[in-house]
Amino acid sequence: MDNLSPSHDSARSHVTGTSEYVDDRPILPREVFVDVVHSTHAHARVLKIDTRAALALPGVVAAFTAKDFAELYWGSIFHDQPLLASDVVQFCGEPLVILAAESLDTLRAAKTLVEIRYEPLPAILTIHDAIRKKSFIAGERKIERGSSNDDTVPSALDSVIADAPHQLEGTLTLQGADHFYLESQCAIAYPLENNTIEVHSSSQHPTEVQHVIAHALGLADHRVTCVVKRMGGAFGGKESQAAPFAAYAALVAQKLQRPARIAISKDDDMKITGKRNPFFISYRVGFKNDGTLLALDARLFSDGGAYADLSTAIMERALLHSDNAYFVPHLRVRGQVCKTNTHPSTAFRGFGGPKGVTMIEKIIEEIAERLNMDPLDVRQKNVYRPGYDVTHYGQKIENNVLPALFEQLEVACDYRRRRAEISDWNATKAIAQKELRGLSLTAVKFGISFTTRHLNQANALVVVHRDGTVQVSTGATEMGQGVNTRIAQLVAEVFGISHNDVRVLATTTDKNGNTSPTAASSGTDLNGSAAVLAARRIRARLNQVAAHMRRTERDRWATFTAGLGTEKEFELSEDSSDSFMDMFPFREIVTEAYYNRVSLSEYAHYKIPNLGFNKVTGQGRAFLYYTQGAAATEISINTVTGEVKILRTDILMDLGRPINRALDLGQIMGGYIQGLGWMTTENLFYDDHGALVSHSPSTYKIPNIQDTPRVFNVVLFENHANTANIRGTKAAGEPPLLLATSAWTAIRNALAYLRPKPNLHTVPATSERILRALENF
Amino acid sequence: MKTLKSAARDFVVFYLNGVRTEVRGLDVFKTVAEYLRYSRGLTGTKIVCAEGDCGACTILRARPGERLEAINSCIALVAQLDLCHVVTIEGIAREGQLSPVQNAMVQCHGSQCGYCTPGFVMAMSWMFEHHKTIDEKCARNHLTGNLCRCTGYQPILDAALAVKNHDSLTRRYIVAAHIKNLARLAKRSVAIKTEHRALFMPVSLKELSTYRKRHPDSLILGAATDLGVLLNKGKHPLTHLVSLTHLRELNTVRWQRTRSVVRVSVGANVTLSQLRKQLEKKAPAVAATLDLFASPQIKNVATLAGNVANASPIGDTLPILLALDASVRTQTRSIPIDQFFIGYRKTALKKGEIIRAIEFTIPRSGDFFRFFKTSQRKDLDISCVNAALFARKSNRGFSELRIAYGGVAATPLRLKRVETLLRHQVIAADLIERAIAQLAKDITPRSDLRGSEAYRLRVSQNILRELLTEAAAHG
Repeated sequence: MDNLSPSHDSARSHVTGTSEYVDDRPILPREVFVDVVHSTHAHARVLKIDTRAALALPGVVAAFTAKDFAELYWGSIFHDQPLLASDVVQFCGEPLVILAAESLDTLRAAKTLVEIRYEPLPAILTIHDAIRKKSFIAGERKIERGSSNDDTVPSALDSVIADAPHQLEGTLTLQGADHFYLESQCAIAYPLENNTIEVHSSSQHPTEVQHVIAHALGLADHRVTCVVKRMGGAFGGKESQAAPFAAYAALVAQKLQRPARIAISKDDDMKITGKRNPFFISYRVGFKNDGTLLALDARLFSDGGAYADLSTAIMERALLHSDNAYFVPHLRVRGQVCKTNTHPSTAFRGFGGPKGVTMIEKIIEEIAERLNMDPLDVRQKNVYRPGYDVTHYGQKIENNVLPALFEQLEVACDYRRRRAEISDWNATKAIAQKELRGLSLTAVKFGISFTTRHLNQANALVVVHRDGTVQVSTGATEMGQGVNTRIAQLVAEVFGISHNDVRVLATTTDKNGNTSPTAASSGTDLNGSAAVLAARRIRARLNQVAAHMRRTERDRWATFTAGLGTEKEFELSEDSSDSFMDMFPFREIVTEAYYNRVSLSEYAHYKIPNLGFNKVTGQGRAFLYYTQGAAATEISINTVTGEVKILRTDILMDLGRPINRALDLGQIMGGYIQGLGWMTTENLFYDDHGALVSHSPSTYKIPNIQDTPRVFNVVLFENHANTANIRGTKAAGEPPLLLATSAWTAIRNALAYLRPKPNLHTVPATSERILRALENF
Repeated sequence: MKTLKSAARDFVVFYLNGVRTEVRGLDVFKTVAEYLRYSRGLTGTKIVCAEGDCGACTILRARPGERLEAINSCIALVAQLDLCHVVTIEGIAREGQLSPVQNAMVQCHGSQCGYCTPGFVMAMSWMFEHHKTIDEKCARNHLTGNLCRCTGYQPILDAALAVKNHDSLTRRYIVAAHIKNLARLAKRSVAIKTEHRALFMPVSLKELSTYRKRHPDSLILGAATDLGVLLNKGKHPLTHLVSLTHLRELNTVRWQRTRSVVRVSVGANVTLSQLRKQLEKKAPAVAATLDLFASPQIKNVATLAGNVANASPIGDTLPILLALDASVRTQTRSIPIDQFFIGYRKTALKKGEIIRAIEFTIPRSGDFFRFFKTSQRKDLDISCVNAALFARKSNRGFSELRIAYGGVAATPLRLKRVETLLRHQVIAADLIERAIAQLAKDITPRSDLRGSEAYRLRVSQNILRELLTEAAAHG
């Protein structure tokens, strides 16, 4: 094993099945099982909710509706979503009734007995419908280079496009995608003494769960504690959307004063919970004969679904990533979230980033096709580089390695030779072999920080125990990404001890309050930094103790004399710049510190410095730094069926100086494959009434083990110059997902070899869409 | 009936990680995964999809006299564990020591969120139960039934390739004393009744017939790969079940040769995995078709008879059976398969009639046989369109030709008009195009989430062009 890459701190319990997830907690006496009954209409007036038949079933304990909550509305940005619908349902799958029963069997039977009568109302089911009817959430956002959105300075953009040697226009439709975390939404609430509640939730945001529950139940915040041990996957789907399920369990616990467990089925999870926002994008571009971009004007519409959730922030990130790796002298992006009668869209790995990125990567392909250039040449012509390194929102890109990534990956993946081979294959063999091939190399530049400034803070509690082992508590939640392992390594490094002697504990709101969601790839950056701050303070004290130990004969140490009180107690004074920690075993220093009444615990707060993004002007420093990478994907298309195979993928990523290489590689490969699913096979299919039909893995096809590239090379770029972040590391969670764009552009690339050139404007590129493009039907 | 009842056993018994376990009452009707998690507190086994499509619930099970096989515990009923040896994730490590598979998964970073991990460990352990050495292809094939959303699979493949010295679970758990203990109970049928539910597991066909006559509405419990899903999704309560599991006479594969025709008769209890093994040498082309569908966990329990009885228009074995001139054998008669599917999910079976075996013809050398399937995802996906073509050539074109399609009508379909058009003809490009035009008239595809009507039509035509071009060029 790679010594720099300790395994995930839960690896042993994962492989033995002993890792405890929420629904693995032992069932307590009197515990009830909870589930929700949801709407079968996309938009309807609710005429009647009748739970009598369900309640008559032996073993059914209670049914609750909207009126049972002290406060009904919640929402991460706008408080616009009811925990349960009452008079009107706004989407198919919207919860209406909570049921509690003594057993799972009974609960399942009871669900079918709840009678709900509806009066259907006209439903808005698509972005285009919403645009026509001006059904929007919040206002339009605009970001334009050099503009402060004061509308007094006329924009030169239109004339630049008009005067450009070449123009093109186009659209891009991006469907949503389900997170398909394996562990569906779940929570257990325990009613405790004096009107307090402890809830165990599978949530990326325990603080929000705590607050939503307190609010919904009419309790003060301090009466609710939320515990998150680990999640069985999340990917953004448990950032906001874990909260209502925890609130359902908490309501039952409060009303019945019995432990209450909710663990919904995968089908219900997929029907009820929001997904990646679908987008519809239209754009106009002006460019030069050599492929240099002159101007880009784009309008982005997203489908926010029935409620706001995080959609406005997601749109903001889409606007901020519409440049991706490329300098566009005149760039204007406008974004509007649409309100429709579908599940409320939510965070999903990449947030809005992948939408902006896919748009501009598609534009690059189209420019190359127009000019008969290799798309990579167009990319390299436009890449952010010295002198051309300020984004449309006015942030200078520091430590920019994009040109180097392109150059190195081009060589490493043998791009030019393979390009020639593919051209040859497509010209001579594709028809006979029924196989078209395509290759594409795309990049990612992903801004790291929450674009909402106040979320960029974290706190940590570090406790050193007398045997020299350490417990760390932070607001970070473990969803598989290995944040706990990385934080343990960071803290161990501060103390100079083994990471095995550091244990990162379950996340609880009574130890770490007012935390931000573990999201935006920032879990380690924020919480690791706070933990390191706390650990350093303890270390500074221990260092003084060590210095004292060096000065003092061993038999006069407090460790041996404190009980008798014969020696004077050591007093902390100014910190020393010299390190004495190596002179004694860590455990001895800790013990001596304790007997000298030196605190072995510390709490620290960290905030990301120097952020200054003004949401009104759309200008400023939105991000602490950028994670950058590039990927080349080669695909083949079966021209009989339109099916795609991924032949080879080469990824080169700059993750600075990784804390844990193996975990980072895991994030890269996992993120890429997840993105690949969205780009190719994952097809959310709704019926004409807005009900999701593909609500389980038999119909919703995430990649399986046969779908991974047959050759899969992942290399980390050497970058020791990133000083912005803790220990020179860079965030790895979301950026790799955006590299899967290269698979989609590779499919486009394969199609571009045909005459007339077929076009593909939709993500995902399903077999059907590809065959339609190939055969034009 | 009275004597039968007194002789019948009123509990289900099996060895769970080496411990004799008797189950009575309502627990018998639960899915294995729910029983393990909520009745036994063995929460290492996860439930994700509850439909056999993700593998998170994978456990190992050996039926009497058979090998340990990976199965989906979320759609198997506890009743189906009767007389079996069962190994769950809790039975893999030995005295706190990780097994080689577990160790490799830790060392190669094969887990992230960990929720799919027990299922992968079980599937991988199963692979090493039956293969001393493996390569990447073998690993992928054995892990096709397990979904992971975190790792991108590469670290899991790395782990599979790094496993050394697998510690045999068969040797550890299928021990002589336990086999003997269960064998003593195998001669008695099982009858379990609760307030609302009943299960009967006969040990002879005679018992079965008697019972079915008395209870014609009882439901035949085969592999339960569909019934288990119906139960989980609240679509069927499975209140009155008759299990065929203990009918040994349905476990056999028989080969019959009359002159130059070789037919194989596949008993209703024979799993697709067992069938594949039987066909491997004698009919490799047919065996290979079984690789293209369902997960290993499903193939380890599912049967041809079940696929036929279920009569789905997109059942993957059905075009194959239609092309191979199959017949369905019941207690009293043999029904040609092209007369078996009489409507959407409707068969020619009469009330009380059960499928004992499926018979079909084995292609001989020189024959052309091909199965084609297209789906959203290449593996472990329900077909959008599937097709099979069997052709025997003579000096005047195809002397025998059978073409069958699934996913293009309410039932799996033989394309007899297309066949007539092509039989005894020289297969030239224009004839192929005429056949394709005829196909368009004979099929009635519909739009659904797996593909639109237009796509199904187009892809069906493309497939026919491929199959005919290949068949014409063959031999």
